[in-house]
Amino acid sequence: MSMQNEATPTPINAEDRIVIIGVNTILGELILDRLERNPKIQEFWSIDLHPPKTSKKFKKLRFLKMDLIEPGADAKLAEKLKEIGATVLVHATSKNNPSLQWVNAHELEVIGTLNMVSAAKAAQIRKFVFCSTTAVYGASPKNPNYIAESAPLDPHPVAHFVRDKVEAEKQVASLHQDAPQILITTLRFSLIVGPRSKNYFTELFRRRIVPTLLGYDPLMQFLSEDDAADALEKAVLEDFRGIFNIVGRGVVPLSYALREANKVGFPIAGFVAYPVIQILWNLQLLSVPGRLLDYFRYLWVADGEKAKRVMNFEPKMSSKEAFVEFAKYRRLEDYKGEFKASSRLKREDQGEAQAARKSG
Amino acid sequence: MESAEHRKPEANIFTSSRILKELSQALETFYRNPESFDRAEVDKLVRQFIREMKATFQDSEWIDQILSEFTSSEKRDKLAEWLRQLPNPIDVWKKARKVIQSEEVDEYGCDPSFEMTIKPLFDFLYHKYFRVQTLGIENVPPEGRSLLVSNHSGVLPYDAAMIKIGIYNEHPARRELRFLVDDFVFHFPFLGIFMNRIGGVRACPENAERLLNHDEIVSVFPEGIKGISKPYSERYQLQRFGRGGVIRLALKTKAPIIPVAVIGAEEIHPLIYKSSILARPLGLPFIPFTPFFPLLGPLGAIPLPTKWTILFGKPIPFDQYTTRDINDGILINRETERLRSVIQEMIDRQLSERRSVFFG
Repeated sequence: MSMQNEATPTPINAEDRIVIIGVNTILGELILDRLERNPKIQEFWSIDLHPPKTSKKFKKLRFLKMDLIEPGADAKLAEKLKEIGATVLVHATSKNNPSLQWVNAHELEVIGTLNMVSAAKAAQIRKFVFCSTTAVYGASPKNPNYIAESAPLDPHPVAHFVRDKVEAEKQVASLHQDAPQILITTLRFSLIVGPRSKNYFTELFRRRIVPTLLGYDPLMQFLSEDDAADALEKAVLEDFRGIFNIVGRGVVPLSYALREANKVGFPIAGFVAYPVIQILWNLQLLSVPGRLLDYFRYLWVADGEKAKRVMNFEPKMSSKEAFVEFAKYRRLEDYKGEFKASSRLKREDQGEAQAARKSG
Repeated sequence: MESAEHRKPEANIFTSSRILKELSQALETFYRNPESFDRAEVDKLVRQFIREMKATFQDSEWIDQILSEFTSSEKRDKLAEWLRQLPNPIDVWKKARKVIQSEEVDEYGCDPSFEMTIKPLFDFLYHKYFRVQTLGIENVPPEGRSLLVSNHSGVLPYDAAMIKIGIYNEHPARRELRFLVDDFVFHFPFLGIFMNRIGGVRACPENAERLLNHDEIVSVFPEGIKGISKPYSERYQLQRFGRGGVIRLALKTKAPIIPVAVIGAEEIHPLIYKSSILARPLGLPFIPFTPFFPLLGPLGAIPLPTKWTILFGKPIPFDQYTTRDINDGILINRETERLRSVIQEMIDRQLSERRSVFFG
């Protein structure tokens, strides 16, 4: 992975000073990794409330602690950006998971983005890279099979999770209107699956039994972590103006994904499923709120042709390959867990045996 | 009373069937050689048959016999034992799933393995039930994009399936037709998946354009719901062709339009009345009333075995127009009307040659 990056020369502007906001989301982690590995980058900055939680040490990273949603955060952020002399701002704070504390989540997504957008305007940065998701198009039976970037966003999202993301998109669109000199790259990622990513979908696949909707089997689209990192790195280091769907090749029906991961689907009739799953979500027994169930019912597959044409980005893994890889990793993880449990039991047995010997 | 005694010992359903057989033989001799036809004998047989039927239904022994079959404890035990020998339904389902589902679907959700599994049913409909005759199949190009435009009829869209099977079976290139399905189908559980897996794609301009740009062969029914819901009295009268979307599509993608006339489909479910008010709570576009449908229950949903003819016309090229013409409303309207009259002419010509609805 790193070898390939070193082999292919990326047209990087040496004067660019990259600032990443949101280091504890999957995309933030991935881009930190990539920037750290890139030999052409001397240093990069990160502004966030918490330092990166990964155990890895980032030598080139300069971390600045700051709360992005406190009152007056936009002015502070603009000041810091000016201090650094930032030219590229990467917005990767978009949450992976819906949250029960939706007021807080709304603050983070919408107010955080608002502050970032106004700071970007004030600090006169050159480029703004915004990480969004394809969920903003909304899941509906009226969607075309492949949604293009020009398609309208979901006008009335039911789930808070999606509503916040759509609002954040609108903030960024307003930045484009107010400050057209800033180069804005919006990347809409499909579901990212892999060993490190933890989103509502991958968490749903932690249990043996996965609830599904009776009689619905939507086509799903997955992106491997590696490909997501490739796309984001490309967008940060090279200049592309506009919105791009970053998605894996092809589609996988949900039922095939279930079989591939060796899970048991538990079909629930639609009218029962929404309230039942909402209750299970409120009790935190499931990672998916009932309001997000449309995404397990209808089509929301995005078209990745523009990214291929303009960004020259082509995912190495198809949706199916990415999912198989994820399922393999999950199985291995389960096996590891069992192995740990069994070895602990063994140790306990040995301990008991020793105790018995001593007492004997 | 003498006659009653005479028939008493034979009063069962088998006698009736024997008489029916004799009757049919007598009728056959009439068809072969009408001069040697014995009218008196046929009359006698008919009278005998009516007598037998009366006796059968008045004779309660016969019904008692059937009832005792089910109520006697011995028989019940036997039935229970037989039921116990049946395989576990879950195993059966798992095996069936292996047969009908493959690991792969194509990018529009079509599952070739599932398609092949259910193809015998459609082949039966094509060859035996509707006895479809295909004319002008050479007008369908062996490769490259083309747009089939056809009349739509018959409450349930059997015509789309028959065109698909017809092209697959009769065309030397064995092309896989993609048909566009109205989006109300995808609101429904099971129906949506079924349509998707056999190659149906939601009818919208984006999908049609993408399919044609990938050099697929696409069939569209511009009459839409208006076509399949037209009453029997308006059969073979083409409805309005949407708002010219078909022509716009052909201009945009430079795909030739192949006019298709389906004869015979309009009589499979003779529609007397349709109710939109009853259908609204179910999410259906309309509820059909045919002479058989709600009256005979599910039996009424069996289509009548009419004789079909599918006629493929000469391709109409659209190369001469430029992309600027897409916005020319008058041109689009004119071309749409021309296409409609071409298909109407094909239908009228074929109808004038047809002598019988059921025998062609």
